[in-house]
Amino acid sequence: MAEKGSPFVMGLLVMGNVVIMLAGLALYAESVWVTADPYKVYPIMGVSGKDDVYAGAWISIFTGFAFFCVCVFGIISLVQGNRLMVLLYLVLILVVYMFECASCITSYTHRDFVVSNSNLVKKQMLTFYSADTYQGRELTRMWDRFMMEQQCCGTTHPLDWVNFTSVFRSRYPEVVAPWPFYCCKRDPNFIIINEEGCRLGHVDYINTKGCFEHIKHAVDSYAWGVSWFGFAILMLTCPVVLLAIYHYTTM
Amino acid sequence: MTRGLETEPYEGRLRDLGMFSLRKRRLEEVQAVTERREGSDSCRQQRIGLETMGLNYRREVSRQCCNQEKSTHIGIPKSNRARISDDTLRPQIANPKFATNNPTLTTVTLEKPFCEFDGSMLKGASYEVYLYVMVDSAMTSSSSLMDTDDKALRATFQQTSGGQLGAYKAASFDVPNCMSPPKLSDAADVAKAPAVLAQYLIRVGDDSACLYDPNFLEACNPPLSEDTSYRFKFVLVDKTSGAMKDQTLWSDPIKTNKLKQSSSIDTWPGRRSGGMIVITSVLSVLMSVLVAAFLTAALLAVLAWGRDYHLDGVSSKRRLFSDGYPSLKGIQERLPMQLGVNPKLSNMLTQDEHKKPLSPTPGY
Repeated sequence: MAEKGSPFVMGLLVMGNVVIMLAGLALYAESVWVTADPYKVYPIMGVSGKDDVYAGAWISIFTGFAFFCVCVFGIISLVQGNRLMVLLYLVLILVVYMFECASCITSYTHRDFVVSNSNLVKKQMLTFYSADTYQGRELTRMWDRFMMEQQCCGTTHPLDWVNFTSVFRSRYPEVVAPWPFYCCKRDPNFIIINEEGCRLGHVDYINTKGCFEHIKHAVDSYAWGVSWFGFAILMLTCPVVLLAIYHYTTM
Repeated sequence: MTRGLETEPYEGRLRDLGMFSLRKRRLEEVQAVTERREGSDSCRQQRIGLETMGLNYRREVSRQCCNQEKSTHIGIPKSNRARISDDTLRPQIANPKFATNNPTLTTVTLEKPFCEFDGSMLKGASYEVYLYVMVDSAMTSSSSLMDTDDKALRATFQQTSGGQLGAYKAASFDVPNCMSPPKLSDAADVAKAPAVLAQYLIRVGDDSACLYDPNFLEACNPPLSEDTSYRFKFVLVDKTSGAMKDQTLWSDPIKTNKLKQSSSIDTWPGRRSGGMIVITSVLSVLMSVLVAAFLTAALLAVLAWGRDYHLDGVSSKRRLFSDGYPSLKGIQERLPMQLGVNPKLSNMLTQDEHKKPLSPTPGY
């Protein structure tokens, strides 16, 4: 057994693999959470085609589970001391590593596209809100729910509806509805408190906060889940794989 | 420039020329204002009341107070006095706390003229206030609001083509009650809000339907045009005779909003975030390190295998692969032996090869 590397390295490798295995399972679970989209912000990204935060999550569902399986295989092959199996383990974990890198980078890059500033979301809101297309209806539903639940209005503030041309503006005259009535403050039964005050924009009758904070928070938490957690796992995996390569050469 | 005074400072020059020094003139202005402000106790209370209620009026107090005191100004150049009243008796845009979206594209929300006309109202007579609207560029033409027999003008939106040819009457309402102005804090109270808003504000351009309604006979108040400057004026009118009793000055020009094209919004994310740069660069480096290490290890293994192969073939193969399982070499070594042990099988194989091109053996 002397030629199969020191037992200390072996112990480290097995421990490292156990940790990666568990982290892989956690990544798998978290990615399922992201793809389930509990904040329901998918339309924002789907409409503009920048939905690769979810693509990253789908990839990491695969890689999370693959990490788990490959590490189980790795532990078996290391314990058995079989060179061929260790070689196969190294190849497999490198492939999974590559995919996980892609998932992290994709997810974070597209997060930057969508929420690094509010312009994309704002433009989308103005072009699709109340538009009579499938995408329009989808996005309208999403915005209505946000504005009501989060008590916000517009992207950065209610004046987004007023300052720019939009489908909404072309459909409703400004005198009647300067902004959607979902911007109006409502009582616990969701009845508008004062319509005239809302129309004038009196601070007590309109939601003055923009919805972008909420959207940013949602997309950020997805991107953080997929990218940073994946990144942490990759940072841990790197020394373990290097050690395994070293171990392989000494076998 | 007057000769001999070049070296003097500006105020010195004025003094030498027998003019007021700037400072003195400014002081007098301030005195005039404070005098009027603090003229009488009731007046001051009223003013403080108005201010605490959030009314926007820069005008000191009601005309009533001012009228009494106007005669008390002594020693103020007349032009100054005129300018002060200029500042104070114009329609004002509503307090931004009441209307955050103001002016909008097609509407302008104004404060109602609280206490402006108290001095001109006689007891017993009933009055109302007319609001006139005019496009700022129309100011050059006659801006008189009286027709031939001293009555207030009744021009409509259509007649003046939206205020471009002259002032039109946009709305009429009762004279706001100076004694009980609305309280800003009450607007937060749902029960009182409609009343407070209606008492305090007048929204120009509020009625989008009246232009197209054939039954509408009152003064129509249709939406204004966007990106246009307007001026406004309140006029006190005797209800019974229709005669104009008093008026404010024209307001400062107030410009309605202009829509920006939503397609002009630049959605470029700009600088990449630090997180993205860190993730991408660190992961690329780690990936390349791993691949390089793996390739090196593989190369080393192949080289070691090649070196050992020259020394002795069998054991080197056992080094490259495992020794727990039969190696490829081992299988190759054993295969002919097995074939030799079982001559029937090898026979059948060779026979089969010979037969195959001719006809397949049925049942084989």
